[in-house]
Amino acid sequence: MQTNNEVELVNQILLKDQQAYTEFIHRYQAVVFNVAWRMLGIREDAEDAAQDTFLRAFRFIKNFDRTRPIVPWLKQIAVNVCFDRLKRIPEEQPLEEDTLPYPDPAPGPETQASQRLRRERIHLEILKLPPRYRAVIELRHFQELRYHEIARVLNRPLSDIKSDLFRARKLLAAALQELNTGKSV
Amino acid sequence: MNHITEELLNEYLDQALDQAAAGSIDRHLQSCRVCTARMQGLQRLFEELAALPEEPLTRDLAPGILARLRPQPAFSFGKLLLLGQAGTALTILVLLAHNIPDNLNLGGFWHNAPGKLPDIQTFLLQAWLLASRIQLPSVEFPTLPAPWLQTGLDSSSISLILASTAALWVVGNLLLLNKTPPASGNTRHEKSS
Repeated sequence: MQTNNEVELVNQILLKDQQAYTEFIHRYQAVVFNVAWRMLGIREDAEDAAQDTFLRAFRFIKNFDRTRPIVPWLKQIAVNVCFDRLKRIPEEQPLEEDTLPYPDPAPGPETQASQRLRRERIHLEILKLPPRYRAVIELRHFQELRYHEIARVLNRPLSDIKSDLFRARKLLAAALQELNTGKSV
Repeated sequence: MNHITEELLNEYLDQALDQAAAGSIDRHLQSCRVCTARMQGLQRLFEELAALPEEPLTRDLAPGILARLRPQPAFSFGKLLLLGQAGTALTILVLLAHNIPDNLNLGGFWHNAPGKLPDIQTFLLQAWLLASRIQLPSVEFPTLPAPWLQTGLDSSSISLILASTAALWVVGNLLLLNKTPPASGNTRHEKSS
């Protein structure tokens, strides 16, 4: 349920109040940027995607159900914006070393790796997944949507969503296993 | 012993199973080390994902978004110029169209049509003579022989050449107009969640 403040902000945006636009962006830009960051992994791309997310949100804000919370709606738009961007990149194109957000660390025992390095490594593994796997991981694990909700957001059959999610997890779990045993990923 | 399928294990952890199915998985896990290890592996992954930190945003996105939100004029000068050219070319095409059937041998239909326009040579000659008579304060157009009369082309051929040029002009202008990039984002309507 939205707070009155949020409803008022949306109402002001519908009245084309410039201050309301600015306040709306300031309030939610970090949340939207983080969705894009997790899915794209490149700061400039994530910032561009966040901008596109707000532009799309403003275009469709008149359709927004004001009894619902706004953050999940914005996050779902962000996933679709990122997914559309990723679809434009050929799927077989491997993730290039210089486009990775962190340097691919040298293999070594997990016990020596810092916690930060380990988290960066997990993010790297997410970024190596095909776009549709990334989208379902984002929606299930970071936005905590149920299967049928993910299917609705991505406009895809429920069976595809489950299959993609389970395969994505299998790939990530395998990478995690290799990380734990100190093998190169 | 039949182990739990990958799908069921995932659905169990996602709490997507009904009570009876979840109870059955619970009972199996109590007695199966293999499936318990698989489930724990997935649980560790879930925890690792949940522990991913937020990335700080290092710049304000508002100015860029607000700049892109400002209404753009529906027609720029360039667009108006292109539209004007396309309109002119289209007018020429229409004026010349009645001469083309001479070459296409469409029979008497076209020439019997009411309100038929004058012959192209007559039309161009009249336009030329009219232009020759225009007098500006200090400039007078010289009376020159119409150049197309010396080419030896008949009116249908001249019409065809001019009509083709005009058609190309129209198509070219329309292509240039269409080249204007659409607003960013796709057209899918975002329904509220």
